[in-house]
Amino acid sequence: MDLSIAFVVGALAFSAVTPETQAVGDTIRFTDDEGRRIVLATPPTRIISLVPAASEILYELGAGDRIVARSRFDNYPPAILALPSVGDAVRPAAELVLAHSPDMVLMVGGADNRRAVEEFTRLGIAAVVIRINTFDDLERNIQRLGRLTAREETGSRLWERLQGELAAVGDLTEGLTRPSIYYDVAYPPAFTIGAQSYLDSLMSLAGGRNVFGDVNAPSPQVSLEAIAVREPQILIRPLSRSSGYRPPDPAGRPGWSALPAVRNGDIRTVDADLLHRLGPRIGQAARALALAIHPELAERPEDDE
Amino acid sequence: MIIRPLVITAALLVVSLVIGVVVGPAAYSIQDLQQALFGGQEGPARAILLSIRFPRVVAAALVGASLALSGTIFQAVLRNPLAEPYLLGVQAGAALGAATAITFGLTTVGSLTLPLTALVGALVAIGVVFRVARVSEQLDTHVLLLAGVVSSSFFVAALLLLLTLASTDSLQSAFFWTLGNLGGVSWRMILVLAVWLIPSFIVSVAKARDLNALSLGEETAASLGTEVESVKHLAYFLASLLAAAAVSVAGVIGFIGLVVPHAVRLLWGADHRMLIPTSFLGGAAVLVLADAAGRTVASPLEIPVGVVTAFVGVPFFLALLRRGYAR
Repeated sequence: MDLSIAFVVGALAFSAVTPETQAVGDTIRFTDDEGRRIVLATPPTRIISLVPAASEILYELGAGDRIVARSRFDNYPPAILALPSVGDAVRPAAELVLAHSPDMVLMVGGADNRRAVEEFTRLGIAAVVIRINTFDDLERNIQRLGRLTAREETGSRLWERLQGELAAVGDLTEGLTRPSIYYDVAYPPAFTIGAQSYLDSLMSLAGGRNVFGDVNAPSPQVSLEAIAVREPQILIRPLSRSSGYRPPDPAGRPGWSALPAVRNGDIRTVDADLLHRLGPRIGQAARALALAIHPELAERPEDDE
Repeated sequence: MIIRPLVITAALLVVSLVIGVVVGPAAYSIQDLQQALFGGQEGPARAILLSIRFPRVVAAALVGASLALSGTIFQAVLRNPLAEPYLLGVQAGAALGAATAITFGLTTVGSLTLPLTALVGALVAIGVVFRVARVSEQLDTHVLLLAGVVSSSFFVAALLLLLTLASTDSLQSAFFWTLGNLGGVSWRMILVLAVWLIPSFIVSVAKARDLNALSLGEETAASLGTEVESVKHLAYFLASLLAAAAVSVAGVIGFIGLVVPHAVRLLWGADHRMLIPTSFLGGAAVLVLADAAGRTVASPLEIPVGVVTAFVGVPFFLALLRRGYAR
């Protein structure tokens, strides 16, 4: 696991040495996030992005005009909604994808999508797996997409800006008491955030402490009793406008009054569409989470940024 | 030969209820629990016992008893060893109802929405199957089986269509619903289940002789003086509605309804005067134990109770089956 990341990073470091101002016609070689070697004859100009975070990065880099189609989950920036959708991010409809004659398809990885990735590769389309689960993944992909669209400089600036935004949130919450947090991903059954998700780091950055930070999984299903014994002081309730999924109100769930957060009414709503996508809006997400955990911060003058 | 199995399963139930209350992800000692219950001060231990473990253990007992009772009745009436509470479409109907509520976000309306929509789905399935199988005032058990299996397929297809169009979170929720979960059962739901289960149990015990006759065949039963059609109708509705109530409260929990009655039969014989109360108590005990294991073994993660019942119960049952046939 660590080795493969080291390999990818190493490969990137190496490729970064080669001049990036490639003339049109130069071949571009790189390795995607599942270790596949990708060769592009020319910089891609007809991209289908089935990874919403990657779409956001492309728009942020000013390369949104190179996207020709999206997945049905892509909804930001609003301009992307004008593009045709080719369906799900996993197992997309091959015919619809081909109909747009793309020169590169950005896809989520994993076992579910392997057949689709192989099928596109067989059909001669550059299927690139993008995996963004950690801040390192985000940095790597911002730089990769910057290089692929000849906006490497913009990519570096974007990553610097995001680091600055995240650090600013860290500064903002430094020295504050860190309430224990239960992050309410889904119910029923209760799903939350574990140590392997970036949201765990985001909670620390935002001045809180994830009560399931000791569970080594991205999104574990936990029992109510396991939540209760950890006595969370604040319940963070992410709600999505785009997905239509709304877990029931924690205050009305049987037995949930055993949690201090529910008993004391410390249930804070956050925007799931903002927080559940590790992309260029992550600094904004961290700030929103910090304000949800520490509402007193809203009264402070904003002297940073 | 009625008292001994009853005493054994009743003792098993008592032991499993104690285990169910004592074990859990929060590792409290017996002293802690005593202190929490009778010490009089507020604290997480008290809240965990009163609002989480007690309702959960009681719900497990009632759901287990409902499923085992339902399975026993179906096996007698359908005279089919594969008969179980979900055979006639109740599970698929309830799953479709639950998934509809989850996908369309109706679960925000209140904590009773999910069980109610599941119940509606189950009742629709029961009605459809009954309507098809009832020909000139008679209930044909073969048609009942076929209608049940075929309408299950239809409901499952509708469910898959719904889930294909649903968001990932809804899909996950609906998927876990089909694995069974006894968490989040409120006292109100428990009360409703008990109010339905206890009279059903009493009626079933009262009809035990008729069920004995029916399991010999319908003609034989009629010649023995059983009013075959009225008993079949009563049995179908009792068993189906018990399954519907159980599935709406706890999602799909397999294995109990099929295997507990068979296990009791293999151990102690097929007299329904013994079989009904013994399966009832045994089903309750088995589900309480399975749920205790599910929430403890991988803590703080929770293993779906339907997975535990099949994983532990099936090898046990296969061993029993082998012993029973070798005899």
